[in-house]
Amino acid sequence: MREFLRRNSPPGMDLAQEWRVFLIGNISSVAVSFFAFLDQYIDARNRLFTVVGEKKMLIDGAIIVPFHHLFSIYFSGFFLTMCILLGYIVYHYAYFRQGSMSIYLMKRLPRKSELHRRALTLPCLAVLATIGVAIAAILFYFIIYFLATPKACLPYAALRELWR
Amino acid sequence: MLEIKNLTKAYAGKTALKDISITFPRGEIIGLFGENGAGKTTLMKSILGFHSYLGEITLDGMPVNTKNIARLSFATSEHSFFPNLTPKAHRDFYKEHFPAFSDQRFRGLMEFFALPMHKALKHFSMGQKNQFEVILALCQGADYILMDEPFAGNDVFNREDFYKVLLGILEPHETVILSTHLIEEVSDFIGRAVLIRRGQIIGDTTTAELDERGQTLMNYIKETYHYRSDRVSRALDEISGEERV
Repeated sequence: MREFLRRNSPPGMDLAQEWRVFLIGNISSVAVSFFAFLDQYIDARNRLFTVVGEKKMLIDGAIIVPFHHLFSIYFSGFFLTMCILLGYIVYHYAYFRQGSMSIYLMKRLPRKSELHRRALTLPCLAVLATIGVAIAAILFYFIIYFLATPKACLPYAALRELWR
Repeated sequence: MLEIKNLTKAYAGKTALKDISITFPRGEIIGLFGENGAGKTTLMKSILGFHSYLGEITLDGMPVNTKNIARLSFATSEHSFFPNLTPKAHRDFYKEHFPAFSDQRFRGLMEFFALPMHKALKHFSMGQKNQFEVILALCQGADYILMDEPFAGNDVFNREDFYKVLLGILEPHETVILSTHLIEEVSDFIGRAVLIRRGQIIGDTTTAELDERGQTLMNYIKETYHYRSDRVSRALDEISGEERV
C-alpha cells in the first residue's frame, strides 16, 4: 500500500494532510448524515401512529414518506468532501513548482503519463472512495428504513411484496 | 546531431527567438553567451520541448519526442530535482526512468563533492544543490547535456573543480551546451562559443579559431557586441555633469 501511494503521488509529497482530510471529511459526513436521517426517519415513523388512550396505534392506511424524501442538505457533506479532494489535483500539479522546478524533470520523462498519473491518481481514488462511502451509507440507511418500518406502511407495492 | 532550423519563439507580443538556425554536433563543449533576456534559456527550453515554437528542432533527423527525450538532460539554476527526496531516492527515480543512467558516475561524483546520500535536498546549501543538479544531468546517460547557468551561488574553487572533473569524465559522444556569464572562467573549458543577442545568433566561433587569431574569448564577445569601453565614463559624465580625463 505504501509503495502504491509512493508511486502514485508527487515524489516526496507528504500525504498525511490529504489522508486526514479524507478521513475527517468522510467520518463527519457519515456522522452528520446519519443523525440527520435518523432524526427525519423517527419523525416520519412516528407520524404513522396515533395515541388512543395510552396506547400507540398504527393509523389505518398510513404510508411512510418515500425513502428519498428523507435525504436533505445534510448529505452535502459528502459533496463538500469530494470538492476538497478534487482541489488536491491543483495542489499536486502546483507541487512540481514549489521549492524547485521539478516540473522540468517531469516534462522530460520518456513516460509522458508519469506527471499526470502522479497528480491525478490519489485525488480521483479519494473521490471514488467518498462516493463509495456515501453509497454505503445510503444503503445502510435504507436497510434501517426497510426493516424498521411496519410492512404495511412501506410506500411501494414492490417493497411490500419483498417484505412478504 | 542536434539541429535547429528557423526557430522562432514569441511570448505575448515579444519575440524571444528570431529565426535561429544552428547545429550542435556530438562531442562538443559549447558556451552559450548573451546578456540577460537574450534568449539563452528560451533556446534551451525550446530544445527540450517545454515551449511551443515555430521552426524545427531535430535530434539525428528525428523530432524531439518521448522516444528520444532521454538523450537530452538539463541542469538549471532553478533546480529541477524534488526537494523532499534524498540523493539516493533521486538515483532510484532516475534509474527507473532513464535506463542509461550511470550509477558509477553518480557514486563517483557524489563522493568527489562529498554530498550526503541520505539527506533531503531541501536541507542542502545552495552550492550543494547546484552541484547535485549538475550531477543528475551528467549521470542521466544523455548525449546532450544542457546547463543553464548551473553555477550561480557556487564559490570559485568549487567551479574550478567542477570544470576539471567534467573534462575528465565526459565521453567523446557527449555534448555539453553551457549557458553562463562566467566568460573568463569557461574560456579554457569550452571548444566553441555561441553568442545570442535579442533572440538572434550574432556570433559562433571555436576557441581554436580564436587562438589562431590571437584573440581572447572576452575580446571576441566585446567586439561582437560592439561593446564601447568608454560607456562607463560617458555615463558618469552625464550623471555628474563634470568632464573627466
